Amino acid sequence: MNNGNNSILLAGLPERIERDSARITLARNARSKVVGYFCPHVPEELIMAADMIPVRLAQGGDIDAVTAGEDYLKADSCPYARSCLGFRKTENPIYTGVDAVCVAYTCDSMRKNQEYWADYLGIPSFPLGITQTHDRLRSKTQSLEYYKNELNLLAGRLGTLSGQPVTNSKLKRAIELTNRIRDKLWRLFEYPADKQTPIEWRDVFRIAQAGFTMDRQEYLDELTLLDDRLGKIDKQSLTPDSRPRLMICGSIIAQGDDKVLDIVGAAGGNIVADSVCTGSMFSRKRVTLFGLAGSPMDALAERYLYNIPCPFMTDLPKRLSRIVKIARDYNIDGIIYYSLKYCDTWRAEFKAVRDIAQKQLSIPTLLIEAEYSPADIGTIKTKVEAFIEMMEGR
Amino acid sequence: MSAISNSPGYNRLVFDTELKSFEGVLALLDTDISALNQTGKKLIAKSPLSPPEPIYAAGGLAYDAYTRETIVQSVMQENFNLANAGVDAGLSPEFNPWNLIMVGSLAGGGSESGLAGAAIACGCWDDQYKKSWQVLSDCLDAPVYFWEIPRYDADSEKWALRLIKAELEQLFKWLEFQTGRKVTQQSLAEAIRQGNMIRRDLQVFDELLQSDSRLLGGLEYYILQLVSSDYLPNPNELHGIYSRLIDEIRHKSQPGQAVSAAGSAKALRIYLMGDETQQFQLFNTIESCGGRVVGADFRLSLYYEFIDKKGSPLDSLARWIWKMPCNMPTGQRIRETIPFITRQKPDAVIINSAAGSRNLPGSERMVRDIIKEQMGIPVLSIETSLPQQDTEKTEYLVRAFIEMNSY
Repeated sequence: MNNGNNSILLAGLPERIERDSARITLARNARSKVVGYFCPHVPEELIMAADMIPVRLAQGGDIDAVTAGEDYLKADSCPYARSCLGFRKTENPIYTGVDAVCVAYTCDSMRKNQEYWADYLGIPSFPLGITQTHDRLRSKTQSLEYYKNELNLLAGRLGTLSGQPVTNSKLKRAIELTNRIRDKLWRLFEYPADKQTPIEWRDVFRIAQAGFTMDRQEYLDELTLLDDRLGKIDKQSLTPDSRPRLMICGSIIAQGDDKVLDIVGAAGGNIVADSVCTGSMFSRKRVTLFGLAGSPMDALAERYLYNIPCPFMTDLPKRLSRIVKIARDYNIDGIIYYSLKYCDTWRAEFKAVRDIAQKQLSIPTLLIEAEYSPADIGTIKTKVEAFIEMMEGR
Repeated sequence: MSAISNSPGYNRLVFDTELKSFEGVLALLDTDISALNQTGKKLIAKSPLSPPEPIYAAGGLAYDAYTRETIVQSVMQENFNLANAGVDAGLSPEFNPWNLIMVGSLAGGGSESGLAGAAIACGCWDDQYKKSWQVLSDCLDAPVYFWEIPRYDADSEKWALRLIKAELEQLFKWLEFQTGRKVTQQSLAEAIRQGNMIRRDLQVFDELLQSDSRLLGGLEYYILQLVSSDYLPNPNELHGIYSRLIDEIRHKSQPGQAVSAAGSAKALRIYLMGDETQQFQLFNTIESCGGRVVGADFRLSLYYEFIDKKGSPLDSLARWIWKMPCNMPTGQRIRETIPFITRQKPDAVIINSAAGSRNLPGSERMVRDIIKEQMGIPVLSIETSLPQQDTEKTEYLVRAFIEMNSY
């Protein structure tokens, strides 16, 4: 347990998250442009280097936004994808506050998002091509070359939008700031690897999500402050947490999509690690600039193409080995496999994850398929409770 | 005839029995994999919308498992339980029935695969297809190879073409390893020449449908399109089968020859778009309700234009792949497709979504809006699933749509 430290450590964080929409409005009033992006394959450094404000549009869990999104995408598209369009219609201030969006060509639903934002929602929607065959041995050379050129194209488009061209020096500064954020966040995500942790994964996850919309320098300052406070806590004085240790992996867990996390917590489960694109994945890998002469665009391409591959990419072995490594590092007792309903890419890999977790780690995996509606709460609760009970009895 | 003609699915369908040469096409549905293996050539699975030329250039035989396994197992034999086998293999039950049946059939023992390998193009057209082969790679005793086709963006052309060429060159090497035959400039040029023959045949079928008379039934046209994606049993034979059919239709359409009575000159001319349907009876329904199928874009990407025979075959193939309509963002795809649709002189468009499919149905609204805006003709959206599932609703919608727009 974290012995009640969190309320002090995270004081005011929800309010600061609330403030972000106001910040975006203020920025727009000050004629700073705000650029949204959805998938983490879009380097926010490019937006920063074009003197604009990056915000990750990763909100979810709102049934009204899902329904509004059905004006464009069918009801059997994943609820996150529908929300990405729906939030603009329901006038979520963050979604209405953006001057443009950058959309990586990842899964089918996100590609459709790019098209609808471009043709129906009235603001520039910049596509970013990204390769799906993610094979380091075979295709890395041509994939990197293609992706780097796509990044250059995007940088040019962003520069035109802001009137401020992206230069190497501005890009290096943005990379440096973002790397410092990554380092701080990664340290936070490491705490729950220990049973005596001053901060729980759930809180670190909230902090990571808060970063999607916060001013980058302000966010780094907050993380630094928190890191200092945590560093002063004597971990040996904390009571070891005896709850079953869980890892959550799968589809995006958007800001506001708390249903499954809440159910797991209420059922006595302790999520200590993740493999989701809104969690520790962002902080996992730095952008590595090689020397002063190193090309920042090369470094960005390498980092963003070869971080943990999302399952729209073909490199399943890499994903599996990453999941196994996290499970070992965090001493996991079981995996919650979260698949948003109609998220084809994640859903099709459940069996592979379940099998490898059983074979290499002898731990069970629970598949949870969920929408953003409250209708499935009862079913999920029953499954999660049974899963955790089973683990407690192991 | 073949096992297909004794199948329950076949017996539910109404074919144009006057079109004798079509029997050759129906026989293609019954392709015997073991017979293909006896040709000594390696059978390589491919995506429905990727060009078969690389496989033929490497001396292999292309096999569109998505189409063929589904037509035989689901449409004709009505082995719908194979969809469950697809789920058992690892797919979500929410996947579209084409992928479920294909995976169920190949992984669940519904069909002897006999595949030497699978070369699967990862384009922008379908996540489910890619994931299906990822799942199959665990179940099949054959290597699965993924290669990349980046999505079309005119501003990316320079480096995207370099990527496609690099991917093709590596694909050729992989194919050489599977078939034992090297892809050369000559073998690729020859494969392109043969592929262009098939493309020309498919263009001719479209031209025949432009006629005011009903020269070719909708169901027959649909099957012609479906079996074109792998050139089986080989490009020359397929071209021969298509040519005989074209000759017969042309002969019948000459003055003084009786044209099939089915479908009057006043029939509502319908162009079909979207996903392919397993409900083949849809084509019979359209005609029995007073409509006539005058074209479809299901496989248009395979024959939208010839692959240029001049210059380097690799360059030509790469450039042709890059501009395949299926590789374009929806708005551009539809605008590029509209000239093809217009040529068929349709009165209306029906867009089909395969239940569970996310790709084309995801852009259905955009397709509908662009067609209405640019062509000014009515559009009906339908959703179809397995052959016998919810057909009454589709029939009702199609009947009402045709009646409403026939005046």
